[in-house]
Amino acid sequence: MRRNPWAGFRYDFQRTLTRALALIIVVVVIIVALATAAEIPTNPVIPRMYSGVLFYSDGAYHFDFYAFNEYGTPLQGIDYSVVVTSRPGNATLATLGGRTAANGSVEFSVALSGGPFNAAVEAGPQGFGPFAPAYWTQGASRGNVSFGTLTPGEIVPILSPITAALNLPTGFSGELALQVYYPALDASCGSGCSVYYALVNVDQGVTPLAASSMVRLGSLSSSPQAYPLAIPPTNETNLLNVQVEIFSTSGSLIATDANSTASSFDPYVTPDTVGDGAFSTYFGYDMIFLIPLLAIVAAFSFYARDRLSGVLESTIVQPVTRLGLATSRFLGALIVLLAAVGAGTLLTDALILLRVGYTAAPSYMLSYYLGFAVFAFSFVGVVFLMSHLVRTVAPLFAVALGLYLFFSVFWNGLVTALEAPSQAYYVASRAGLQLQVQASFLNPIQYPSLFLAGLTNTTPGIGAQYGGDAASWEVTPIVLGLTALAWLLIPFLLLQWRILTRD
Amino acid sequence: MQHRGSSQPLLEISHLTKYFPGASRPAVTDLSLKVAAGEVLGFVGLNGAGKTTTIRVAAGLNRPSAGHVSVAGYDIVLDKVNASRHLGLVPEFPNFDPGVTALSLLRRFAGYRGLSGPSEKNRCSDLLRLVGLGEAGRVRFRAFSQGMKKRLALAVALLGEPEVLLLDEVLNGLDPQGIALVRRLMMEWREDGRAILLSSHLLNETQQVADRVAIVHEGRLVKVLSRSELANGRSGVLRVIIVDLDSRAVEYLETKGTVKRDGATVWITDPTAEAEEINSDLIRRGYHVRGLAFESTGLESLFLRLIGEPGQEPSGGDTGE
Repeated sequence: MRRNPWAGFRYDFQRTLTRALALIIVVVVIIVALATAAEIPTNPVIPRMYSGVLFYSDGAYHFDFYAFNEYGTPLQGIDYSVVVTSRPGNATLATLGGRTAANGSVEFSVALSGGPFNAAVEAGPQGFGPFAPAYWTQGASRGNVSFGTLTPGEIVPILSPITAALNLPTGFSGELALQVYYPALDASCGSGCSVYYALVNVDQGVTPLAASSMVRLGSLSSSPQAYPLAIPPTNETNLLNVQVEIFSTSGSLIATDANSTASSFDPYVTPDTVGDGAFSTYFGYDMIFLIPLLAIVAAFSFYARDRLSGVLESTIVQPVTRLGLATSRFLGALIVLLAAVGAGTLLTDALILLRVGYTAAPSYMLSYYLGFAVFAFSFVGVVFLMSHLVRTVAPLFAVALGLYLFFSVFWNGLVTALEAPSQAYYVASRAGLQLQVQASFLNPIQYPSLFLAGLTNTTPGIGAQYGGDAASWEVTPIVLGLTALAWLLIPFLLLQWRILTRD
Repeated sequence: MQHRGSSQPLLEISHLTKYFPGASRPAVTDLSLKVAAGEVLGFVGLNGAGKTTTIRVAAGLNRPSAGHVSVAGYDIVLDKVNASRHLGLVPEFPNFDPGVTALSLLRRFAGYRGLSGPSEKNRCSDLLRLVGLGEAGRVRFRAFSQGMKKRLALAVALLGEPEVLLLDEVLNGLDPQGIALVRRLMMEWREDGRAILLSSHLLNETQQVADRVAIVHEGRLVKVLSRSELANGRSGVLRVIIVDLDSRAVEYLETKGTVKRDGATVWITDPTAEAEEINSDLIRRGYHVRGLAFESTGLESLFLRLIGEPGQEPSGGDTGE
């Protein structure tokens, strides 16, 4: 009587999945996920954003400041100090100081008579004193302002009067948006101001623009306030900054700022939320180095070691085919790796949510997951195949680890060497970068970033400076799908061919 | 299981040829054999004659370059799974995962045979006891002696109660107790109707248990000796030790073959009577027989003649029928 011909295959597959090593691999990935997620700062120190204005109201001069981080989170505990001196004479009239509250703001008030005056403002985290680290320069942490007798409602900018920060908008919801914070909202806007933006180049300084030459974002009724953006693609590569202006209800310009770079609003820049950044910086980066090593270990332990030592023959004699045996172990190794990475991905994302309040975008996680799958498949396939081409362990590991080092460490060096004759690499021409993108298809470790560009139809990371959608870099779904499939199938098909044609 | 004497061969090797890359000649050339149910086929040859290659191909470990192997009617290449269900192999050098205990190894392989649960555990324990490893179930394979490895391989081969057993130098490395065990098991398997291909260097042992003996030389089947040919070719020396040996006893013994005497020991070359008969005659005649042993040289001389000792031409091929 003929029995189920797949019984032996199924049993071997199940046995592969229940090996102790399978559990160890999952645990290793989870430990790495925990370790990397623990490094994600809940409230990053850099870059700090500072914003401040001076206005007169109720018989006093008011210094209003706001500090926040790159996530848009208000920073509590930032020390601000203001020294008001007479001008001329330089006599100290008032020394004001305080620390931002939980909402990131602090306000000093002082009654002054006469004028003119000078106010020297310094801001920075507590404890650094005069030895402020260099990264403070990323936000304007010092400012000087000269002022005479102000009238009620008159606003004097100190530091950046409007907060419209770098990379800020996409950090909160994954949607393209601009967050505007204006410290003197109550003093100057009253029932509401209008916010406008334009793409500009501030290399030569910020020049106020007329409202008619800008795009209206909406009214400013609270602070901070976020505005959705839909900036169309532009070929004006010199327009790198977003200039924001606030107009009063009467139409007069009351504040302008151009601290934000326009590149954040390029629709073809890969979405990069706080969660995305944490995911790719920590978990993604570590996994790109770890997964190929785990794939090599899994493939060796599940199949190659038995094959090279001859132990596999005792199993081949059982009611299972040699091809079935190799396939069950191959699939087993892949499922273990994908399960481990899946668990690590979800765990990391949960930890990111706990620490910074936002998860990575699904497209981000899916891209990394598919990319991990490609190089897990390819490295498992290479080790399986090598076990049929060599007789001892040493050459197998030499090839597997050699490929790992080549793809992960020496790849950029090779690309540089290949492009050096045409100087494409050094001048970073569009054509040169295009070549680099195309070469990425030959490196399985590049697939997370390729999938990211392909799935979100955005500029591949290599070509960020030129922008454009994924298709313009020839990262199309068809090319991506076919090359990924090639990485998945070629080592496995070669293995099958070898098993079917040789002992 | 088929009954003893069934004409349908359980193991059929047809025109098997096996090339290995880089070798100057095929390891096996056009070799055909049949082993019927309830039959032990001895498989003898010099080192490198092709015995192990033939067994490896029959077990599905190597692919035939040409020819076919059928196990219980299933082709070992085209229908490997079903063929292997009816097959058990004891390799010359058993090689299992060194870090795993005997019982775990056995249970691991039991899964491929569809065994699970309490029946699997009981079967594995029973098999370990059967092969004399009842106390070694928790010992790791790496700690096993060669003889213990053979015994474990025997247990693994028996897991699926196969109808065909391929035994490659199964007696090598076994102690006398182990040899006796295997000999007894082979008798039982034969009674159970299993087909056994027994590859061995030990010609006398082979002759004792085999129904037929296939002689292979340089990859080719030289001759398959039938039971009657084995019986006709039976030759050797009977050694008799008689406490009160005298000329009358020697005269009697000379009627049974060529006699050589040394003290109380007499050697009878190619005796015409069975040892038991001679023993009975001597006792009836009032002699005290202290020792009686037959040392066969029949298969060995036949073998050497067939493969062609230096200066001799080997005999022609055989179809193995």
